[in-house]
Amino acid sequence: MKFERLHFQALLLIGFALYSGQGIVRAHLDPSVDDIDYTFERELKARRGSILDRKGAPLAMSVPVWEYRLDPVSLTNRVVRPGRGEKPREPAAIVRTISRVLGLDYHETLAKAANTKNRYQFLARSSDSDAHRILADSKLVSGVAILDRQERRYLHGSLMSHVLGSVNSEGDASAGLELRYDKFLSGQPGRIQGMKDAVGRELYDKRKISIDPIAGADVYLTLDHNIQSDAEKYLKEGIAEFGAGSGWAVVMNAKTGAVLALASFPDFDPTEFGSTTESQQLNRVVGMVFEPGSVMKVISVASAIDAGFVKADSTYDTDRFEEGYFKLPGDGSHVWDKRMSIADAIVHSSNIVVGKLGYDFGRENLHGYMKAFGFGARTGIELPGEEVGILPDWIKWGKADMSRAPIGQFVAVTPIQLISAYQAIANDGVRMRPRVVDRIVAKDGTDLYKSAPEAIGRPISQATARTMRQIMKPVASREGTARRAAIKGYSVAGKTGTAQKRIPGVKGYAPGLYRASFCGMVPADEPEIVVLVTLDFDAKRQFHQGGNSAAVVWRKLVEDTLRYLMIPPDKPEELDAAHHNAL
Amino acid sequence: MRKNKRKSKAMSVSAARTCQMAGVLVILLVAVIFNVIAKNQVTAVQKEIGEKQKVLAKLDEERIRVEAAWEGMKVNSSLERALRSHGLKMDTPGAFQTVRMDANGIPLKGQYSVAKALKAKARNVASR
Repeated sequence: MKFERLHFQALLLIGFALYSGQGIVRAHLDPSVDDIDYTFERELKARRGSILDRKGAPLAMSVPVWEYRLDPVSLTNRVVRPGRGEKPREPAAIVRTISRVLGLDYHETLAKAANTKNRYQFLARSSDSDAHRILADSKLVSGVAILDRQERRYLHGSLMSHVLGSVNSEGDASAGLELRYDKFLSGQPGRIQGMKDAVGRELYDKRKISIDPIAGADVYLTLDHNIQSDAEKYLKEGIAEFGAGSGWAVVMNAKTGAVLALASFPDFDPTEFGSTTESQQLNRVVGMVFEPGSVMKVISVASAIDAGFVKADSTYDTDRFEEGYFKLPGDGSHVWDKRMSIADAIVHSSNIVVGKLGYDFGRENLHGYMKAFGFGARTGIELPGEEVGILPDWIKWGKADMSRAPIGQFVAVTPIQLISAYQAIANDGVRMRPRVVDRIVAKDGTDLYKSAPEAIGRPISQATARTMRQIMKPVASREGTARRAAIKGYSVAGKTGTAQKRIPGVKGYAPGLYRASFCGMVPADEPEIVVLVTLDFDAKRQFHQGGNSAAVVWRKLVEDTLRYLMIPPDKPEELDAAHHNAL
Repeated sequence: MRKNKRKSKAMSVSAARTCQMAGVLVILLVAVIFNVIAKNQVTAVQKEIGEKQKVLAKLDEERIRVEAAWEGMKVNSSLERALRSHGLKMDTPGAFQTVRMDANGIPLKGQYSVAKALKAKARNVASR
C-alpha cells in the first residue's frame, strides 16, 4: 500500500510539474508577468458625421489625412539606401523628394531641414495615398514623422459658411451647425485597453477592453447647394454692383418654412475661421438687428385689415401736416394733395398714410400683431446666435413711435424674423417655424431627429393674407416701387424697404446711409417661395433704394430659383406674348 | 518452488494501479498539450483578427479618402472648371431651352419653344 501511495504521489508531482512547467514557459514568453508595465490604453477617435444638403450632396465631411512633420536630426543621421549595395541618398535629394511629393517649395523645405534646433516642423497635411506610400518608405525617405489626423473638409469652400460653421484641426466646433449639433456630429470615441510586447506590438489575447468608436451622425439640411450658390453669387454681384458694404439673402419655402438658401456677406472660409474678422463671422440673417424700414408697412397694414380697422380701399389724406398726427417723415416725390388708399400706400410706399394708419390703429393693437408675427422673439431656427430684435412694450411707445413703428422705424428686427412674417402672409396666415435642419441620421441609418413643418402661429386670417398678396402685387409693376423685381410669366407680391441707418454713438440717422431691401413671394396667388434680399450701404450710393438695388438682385435670384425648382408660371400668356414678339 | 500467492496477488494489484495512474498521467499530459496547442491557435487567430481589423480600418479610411476626393470633383465649381478647360459652360437650362408638359404629354402654355413651334407651323400653313 505504501508503494502504491508513493506511486500516486509521484504521479501527482509529475502532473503538477508539467502544469507549472507550462506556466513557467509561458511566463518567459509573456511580458505580463515581468516587472515592466506593458499595459496600454488607447482612445479610438470617432469619425465626425457629415453635413449634407437636402438632396444628400455633402457640404462638410471629415477625411482621414496624414500630417507630415520634418525632423532634421533624423534626416541627416539615418542612412537611406534604396537597395543593397547602392549609394546612400543625400539629405538634399531626400528633401527634393519630400517637397515634390507634398507640393512644397524645395528651398523652403531645405531651410527647414537645415534648422536642426527645431525638430518635427510641420510640413503639410495630405490625403494622397501615393504620396503617403513614398514618404512612409524608409528606403526612399528619412526624417519624416507621420501622424494620423482627421481633417474637416468643406467641399464648396465658403459656400454656406454661416450655416455650416467651422471645426478646427483639433476637432473643436466653432460656429454654425457644427457647433449647434456637435454632440450628434462628433460621435463617441472608442477605447482599447490591453498589453503589448517588448517591441510595442499589441498582444491580442491580452486585450481587456475593446470598445469600438461610434461614428458621428449625418446632418441633412433643408438648404439646397444650387440655390445657395445662386443666392451667394447674386448677392455678391449686387454688393459689388451697387457699392454696398454687406448684405444678406434668404430663400424660404412658403408653405413649410424650410430655408432653401441663407446667404450672409461678408462670409468666411471655414478652414480659416480663426483668422476671420467679427464682421465676417456674423451671420447677419440671425444675428443682425436692424430697423427694417418700409418692408414693415406690409405687417402694419395686414394687422389693421385683419382687425377690421380698415379695408384695402380705405383712404387717408396724404397731407404730411394734418392736424391730430405727429409730424411724419416725408414721402419724397409722392403725391401730396389727395387722398390715398391703403392699397396704394403699399404700392407707393407712403410713409404718411401708413404712419397715420398705425397711429389711429393704436400702439397696443399694433404691438400685439407685431408680436404675433414673431417680432421681438426668436424664431426657433436651429442656427446659433439668433437675436430677438427690439420690440419695446407698447406702454413705452411715445406719440412719435406710434407713427414710426408702422413704417419700420423704432422697432428692430432680424432678417429671419422679417422673412418669417412674410412667409405667414404667403402661407394664408399660418406662420411656420423657419428650419434649416431636415433630419439627423445615425451611421446605421436610424433617424435620431426628424424635423417636420411646424406651425407656430396664425397672426392673420386667410382672407387677410390673400388680400395682402393682392395689395402687394402692383409693387413689382410699373406704378410700384419695385418694377425691376417683375418677372415675366409670374406674379410677384412683395415690398421694398429703404431704411435709414443708425450709427452707434450718434443720435439720429446717418445721412445718406441706407439698408435697401426687397421681400417678396412668387407666384403671388399661391406662393411657393418667399425671398428676402437686403443690401447694407456703408457709404452714400446712387442706387440705395430697395427698388433700384435689392429688387434687381432679388429678381435674378428668384428667376433662377423658379427655373431650378421647376415652378410653372402663373401668367403663361404673358410669356406667350413675349415669345411671339421675340419671334 | 512454492509461490507466495499473497505476494504475487499484491504485486499484480499494484501493477494494475500503476497502469491506471500512468493512464491518468497520459490523459493529463495530453490535456496539457492540447491546452497549449489550442491556446497558441487561439492567440494566432486573435492576432490574425487584430491584423485584419487594422487592414479593414485602413481600407475604410482609404474609402473615405476616395469618396471625399470624388465628392470634391463633383461640386459645381470643380465641374465648371473642368468644363471651362474644354471651352464649355454649364448652367441650368433657360426658359427657351425647356419644354414643360402636362401628364398627357401636352406642352404647357407660356413656353418659348412652344411659341416657336406654333409660329413655324403657322408659317408653313401660310406658305402652302
